[in-house]
Amino acid sequence: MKKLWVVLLLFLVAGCSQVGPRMGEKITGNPDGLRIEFLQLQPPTIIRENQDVNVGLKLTNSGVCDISSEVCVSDTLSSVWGGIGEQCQSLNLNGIELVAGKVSSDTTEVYFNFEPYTNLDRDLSTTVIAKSKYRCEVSAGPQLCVKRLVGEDEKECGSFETITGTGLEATIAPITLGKVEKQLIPERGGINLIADITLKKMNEGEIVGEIDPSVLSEKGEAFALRHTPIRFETDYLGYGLMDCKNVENGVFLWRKDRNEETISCELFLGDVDFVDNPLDVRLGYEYENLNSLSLSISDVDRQR
Amino acid sequence: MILSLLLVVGCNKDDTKKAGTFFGGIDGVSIEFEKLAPPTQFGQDDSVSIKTILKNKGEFDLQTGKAKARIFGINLNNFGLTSDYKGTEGSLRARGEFSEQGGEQVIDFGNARYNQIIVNSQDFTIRARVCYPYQTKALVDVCITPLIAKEGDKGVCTIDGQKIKESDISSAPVQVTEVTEEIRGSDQVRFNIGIENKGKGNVFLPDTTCEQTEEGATRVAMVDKLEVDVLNPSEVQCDFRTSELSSRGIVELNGGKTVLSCFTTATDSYEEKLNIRLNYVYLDETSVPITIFESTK
Repeated sequence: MKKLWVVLLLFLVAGCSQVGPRMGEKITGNPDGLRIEFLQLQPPTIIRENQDVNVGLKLTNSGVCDISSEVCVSDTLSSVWGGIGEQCQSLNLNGIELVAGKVSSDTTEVYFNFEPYTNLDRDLSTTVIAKSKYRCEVSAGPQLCVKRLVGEDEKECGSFETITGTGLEATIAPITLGKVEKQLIPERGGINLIADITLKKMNEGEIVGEIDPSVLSEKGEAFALRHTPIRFETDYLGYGLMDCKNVENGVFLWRKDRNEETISCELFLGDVDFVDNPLDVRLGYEYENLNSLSLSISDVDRQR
Repeated sequence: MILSLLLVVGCNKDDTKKAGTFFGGIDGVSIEFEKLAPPTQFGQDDSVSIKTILKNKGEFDLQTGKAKARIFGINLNNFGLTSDYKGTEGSLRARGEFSEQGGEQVIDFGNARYNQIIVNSQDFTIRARVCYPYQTKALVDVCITPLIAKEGDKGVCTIDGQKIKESDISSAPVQVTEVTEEIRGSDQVRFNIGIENKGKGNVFLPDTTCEQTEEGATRVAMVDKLEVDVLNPSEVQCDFRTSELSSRGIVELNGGKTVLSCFTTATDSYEEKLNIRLNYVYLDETSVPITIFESTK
């Protein structure tokens, strides 16, 4: 009888053990990337004139892109008082990966030592800025089904579908997929696949990049100031590149004040069979993350 | 332990016996992927075998090559596969006196290898469709009797109630589900024949080729239609909507079912076998999820 209970218990334990994601599985979710934090009291928010300034940073890569770049610290105060001047250190962080079924982020701490602030004639305040710029190239995208007859087999493959959440297979990166709206439009000779692809940016940081001079001369400086380029390419795998609005030579210009942008793409598939196939959205961009800390510097002579 | 055994024994239903003319049931030709062809997970550089097994669990023989299958549901070019239908290389014997399980055939679609970029892993669903001509046979005892015999209570049989008994209909996905009778006028017996697609697949006209079932325009014209042939009594006439009164014609299924009205003249009262054949092409499908992992080389 005891043996029977043990066997039953083993069955229960085995049945209840959660099987985590396997190696090689996609890590998908909301946009995320490098996170920069100031270590506690490094520096303290109030320092005195002639006191050494040490800046300590904790950097965590929460996105899939490997970071091989540098992290720089500077402040907003004039250099006549010494203190924090721009210093950079190399930064190498691996992208997130699955270890034993759990997402593992690479993290590091870096320390900067600066000369003290000196010759103050009054109390001053400054902002310490820590930033890092890196390139990210990602590929993401959901499975989209297409079919020969619009209106038929709607349960199995909707002619109109909005894909969000886990179905998006959105690779975690500073900019990634936020939503895909699919439409199948019957046209003469076959089916036209339309995909409105919404890209989302992480709240922290911004896209940085140089606009091509030809675009600058064509669209003007005001336009160029408001936009930043990202590389954008979408392929319905095996059927070819999709034709996307406002994408020229594989470049989309992102409005700097927006956290998401929608790009409308289409591809004529002809007489196509029922197919579930990956939409491969490839993105490439320079991204800059920063964090800042307000610092008060007290004038020692005035305190006396 | 004893309870479990009782459960297992209770679940094993013996479906190999037949009580009358036919075994009965709604099985025709089933399709499934052969075990590990494809495996559910493989690497990007792996070349994997794709095979389907067709099993004829219905009661209609299919000669070599009549049942065909094809792979779909993925971009076949990306996997190095073709979209062509492939026929069986042997016959698919029906379930019957000499083959209680029915025949089975394997169709080999060759090897598949994914030729696109994989990042980490990619999930797909590989589907296979089977296409085969099939026939449902019905042999139902009916009563032919004129009004005078019925009212005079001199009939040898009764027209009342459902005429179909167990084992009157052969195993096939499209079934004759109802045969009822009524008397019209003094000497006319009317049969209401209910027909229903009981399977999961689609029914097409019997002369439809497998390729035509895939073409938009021809598909729409041929889907949900089948041929009904009343072999006996020979003088039976049916009201086929698209043709003149005849013992053979086309019916269209609406929501997977229809009722056909047929009639014959009765001068005397006697029992008869209503012998019906339903001819059609049937399409069914199966699917298997697969995950392809990025190459680590």
